[in-house]
Amino acid sequence: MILLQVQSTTQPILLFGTMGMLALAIGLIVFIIFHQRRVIRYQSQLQEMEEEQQKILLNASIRWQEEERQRIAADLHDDAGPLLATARLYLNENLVHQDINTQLQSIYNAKQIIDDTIQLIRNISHSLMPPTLKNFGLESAVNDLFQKISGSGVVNASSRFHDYRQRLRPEQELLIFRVIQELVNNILKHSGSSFIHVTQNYNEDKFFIRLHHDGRGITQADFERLNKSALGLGLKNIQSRAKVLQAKIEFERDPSETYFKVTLEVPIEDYEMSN
Amino acid sequence: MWGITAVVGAYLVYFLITAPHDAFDSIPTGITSLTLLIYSIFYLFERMNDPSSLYLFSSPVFWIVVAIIIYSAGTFFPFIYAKNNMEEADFKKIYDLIHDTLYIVKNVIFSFAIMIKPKPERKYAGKTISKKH
Repeated sequence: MILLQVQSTTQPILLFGTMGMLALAIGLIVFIIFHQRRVIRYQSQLQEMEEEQQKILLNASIRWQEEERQRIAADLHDDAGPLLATARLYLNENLVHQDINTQLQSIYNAKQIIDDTIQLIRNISHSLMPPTLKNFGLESAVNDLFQKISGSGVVNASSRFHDYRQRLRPEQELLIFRVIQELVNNILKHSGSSFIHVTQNYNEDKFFIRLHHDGRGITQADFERLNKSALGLGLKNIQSRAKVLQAKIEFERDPSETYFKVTLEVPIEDYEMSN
Repeated sequence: MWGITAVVGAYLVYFLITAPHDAFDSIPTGITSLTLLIYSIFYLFERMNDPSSLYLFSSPVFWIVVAIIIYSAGTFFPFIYAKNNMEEADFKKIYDLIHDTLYIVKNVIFSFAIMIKPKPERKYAGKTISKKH
């Protein structure tokens, strides 16, 4: 009787216990499988978004290059071309049949025009690669740029480099300078600010450029939104340059809401410092 | 984890030396099943939290662990009750049914794990997904 009772209680426990344990085990495995699938889907989406962002930046970079080429082509065609054509007119074959005074006048005029053309080509060249940046470094180039802006009398522009004893690599300097140039350009075009101030610092293997202005600015959210949209070619260029520099760029508004701040943080440990 | 291994190992050695050899050893077998279950679940949760292990299903170790979980979970109760009820014909029938079925399932999953080919290394969202299993 006792044995029968034991048997009758043992078997359901055995069956239900085994089924319960199996259900728990299978449930756990199914949960892990579903979780992994969700992670894979999330990672795929993340990768797609990253690829999309890369495509936008690449397009922006190509568009910027094309615009730059068009600008150079227009400068050469519209300015240098007519100047040289005019100089050629002064120096045509009939010049030898004219009196000496007219000849001298023509040569003087042609010389003037050729000087203007040389100046024009120099300006184009300087806009492509500022000689101050190449020869004297980022600090001098930025100071030069800000002096020119301040000289216009519209905006009070100043720059201060606190820790720039060694020059960065030339390509780094050029990229940072282009980012500053683009930021300043945007501020002058859109913000209506009365001052622009740039500071430089070096701290814990990081090179900081901070730009303040008191006009209408953008925040990080605006920057990210504009980067994802078709608008904001200049901002996309800033983003792609920051990416090349492996730098972080942050747009923010100060807590007192009196000015906007842009911080460019360039890691230096991966780059060799060159003298 | 090493503590559990040491305690369980010491207990099993002690039981091997002291226990009589004429009956099914339910307690050490149950403890072994539980330990295996704990280790397997721990392994799975570790892999789940590892961002580099995206292709868990292509890993042979994952399937071996799945087989161990199913076998250990399914045979836990039969092992626990085996010592006192193995003499009963009805119990033996159910025990054999559960154990043999799970044994076959375990071996099928082991075969699958041996035949599976690990996925090559891939990059996802800036992270390197390694072949590490």
